[in-house]
Amino acid sequence: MSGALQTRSGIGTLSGLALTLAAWAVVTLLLILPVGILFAQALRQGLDAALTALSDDDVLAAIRLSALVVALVVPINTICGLFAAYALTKFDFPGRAALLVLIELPLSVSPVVAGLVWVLLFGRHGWFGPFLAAHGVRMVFTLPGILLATLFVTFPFVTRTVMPVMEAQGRQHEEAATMLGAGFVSLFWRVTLPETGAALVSGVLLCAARSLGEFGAVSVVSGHIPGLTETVPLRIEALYNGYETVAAFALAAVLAVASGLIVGMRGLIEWRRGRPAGESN
Amino acid sequence: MGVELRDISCLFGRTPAVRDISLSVPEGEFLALVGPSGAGKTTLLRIIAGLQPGYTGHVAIGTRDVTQVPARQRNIGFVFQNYALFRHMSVADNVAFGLKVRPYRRRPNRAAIAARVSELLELVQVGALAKRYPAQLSGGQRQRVALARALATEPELLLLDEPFGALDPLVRKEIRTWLRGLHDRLGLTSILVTHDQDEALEVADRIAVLRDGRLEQIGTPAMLEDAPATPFVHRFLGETVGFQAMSQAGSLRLEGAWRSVGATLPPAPPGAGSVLLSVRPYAVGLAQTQPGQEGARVLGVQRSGAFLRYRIAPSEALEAEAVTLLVPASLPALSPGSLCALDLSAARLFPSADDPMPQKAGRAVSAVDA
Repeated sequence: MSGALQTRSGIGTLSGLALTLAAWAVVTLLLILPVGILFAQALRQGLDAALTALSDDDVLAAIRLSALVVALVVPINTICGLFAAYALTKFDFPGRAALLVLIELPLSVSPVVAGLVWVLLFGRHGWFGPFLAAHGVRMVFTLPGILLATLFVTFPFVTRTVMPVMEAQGRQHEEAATMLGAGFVSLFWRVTLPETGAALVSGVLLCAARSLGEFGAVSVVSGHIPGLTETVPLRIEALYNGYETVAAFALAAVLAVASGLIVGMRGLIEWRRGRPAGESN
Repeated sequence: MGVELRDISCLFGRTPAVRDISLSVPEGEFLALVGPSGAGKTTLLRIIAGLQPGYTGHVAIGTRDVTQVPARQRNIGFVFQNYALFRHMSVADNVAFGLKVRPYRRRPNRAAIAARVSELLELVQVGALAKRYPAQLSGGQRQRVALARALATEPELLLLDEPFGALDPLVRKEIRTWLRGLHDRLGLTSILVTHDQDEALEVADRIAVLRDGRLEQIGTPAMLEDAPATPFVHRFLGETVGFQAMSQAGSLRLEGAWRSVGATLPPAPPGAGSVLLSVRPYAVGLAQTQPGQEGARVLGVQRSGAFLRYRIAPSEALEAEAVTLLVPASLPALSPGSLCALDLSAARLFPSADDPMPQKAGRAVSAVDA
């Protein structure tokens, strides 16, 4: 792209500048410009039109549902992810390696496939479908189905961010706490968890961002029932397909702002983590 | 409180890490566990602490058999090799930890904890650092904080795993003298693990020498020096020079390359057989031979502090057998090339079978053969 990359005389001021400019060009082209266009489109017919579009009942329902999904998924995955990370780093048990691979599975499997699997398992003609139907439980086209799909897709985030930190901790701090009389609970709350600190928060935020934006898996299991099983991303798609561009872009802008806030918080934490607090012994 | 170990064994997979060790530590004693790396000393310490699963045998602290008691209920102070301070807690919170995690009924109130913490920090001379975090402390300061933390719950037994390893030599010397003083002042029973024999000799009342998971010998530093049970113990506690000899009919004579060298030897042990003479390089007497007397050849001499460092061989042709001996520089010097008479009467004698490690006669062995 730039001649600077080919120079072999080390990175001089000029080539450094060129590289920086190139990086910013890419960022502008791929990140800032689209978001800018997004807002421009949303506000094309003025702020009032955008706000009216947002106060539509189905849109509000979608926002409420998405908020509910995030509010449920994040705590569940935080707790499960923490314990998975703890078990995987502090204990050696048969099948540990397999479990490590399985935990990463949601990252490599297409969300659509994940959604289809849930339908195959719990759908009316699925394996457990008849059993669940007989007990009056419906998993597909309902909130539990959306929750399951989102849980699956966002499961790896907490585990993957916390594991390296726990790995690095080693066992000595916990042994020290044990020798001082701490039981498992105080040990976990006072030593293990605080020491994962920033990494845990970072993982939780990633999980939140992803569960807010998840489309594929949710799309398959939700059934797209407006006002009932449509999350914000699904509602955006529906609006867009219905040529309601202003509404679609307005809602998309809301989603973008929410994700932006989450990513920004994460950036702030990572930045603070990089500063003094520093290594221990 | 005293410690009593009976028939302790521990396997790492199939490799025995500790083999059938029994020893007792009377109340108030400072015991050092020494040995090369892999000797099982840290494992033994962790067994006493209750941190090592899967061992057999019995551990008693005071009059209480703690074999089945989990680590957290043994009330033992443990100082880890790298101190293991909680990095997200201030120094004061680190020290207070053991008191704060007590069950509600046995937990002192806030004011009492704060008072105890500042008392402990004063005791270990880091009172001014209460609000700092571990990352802001020097090695010596961390060491003191770790000690204060271990002492907070008033344990009567203190276990220290290589506590001086990470300190620079000057601080190390100072802090171990100080630690010994603290041990005496508080009336603790302490067990220290170290691979540094000088450290053990300096602080400990008694030393237990471990090798390959076995207890080679336990005794006071003087006892280990005067009557080492095995050549290994002798070699581990300081530099040694070894000579092969043969004992027969009440007389002892050197074997191998040194056989033709006239040397004064200690009295022969009873019985016949091959014997190893192990001697400190500074405990060998060197003297100019009388005309006509047999002797060893001085290959070279070098000043080393208050000593002269001699390289001595049976003859010039047998240079490969040369040993290094130390003689006080105040004694008359021998010049290279001259013959000298060796006085080995200070050597310790061991039946050669005692030392499974094949040892070439006349080879100087470094103190730590890890």
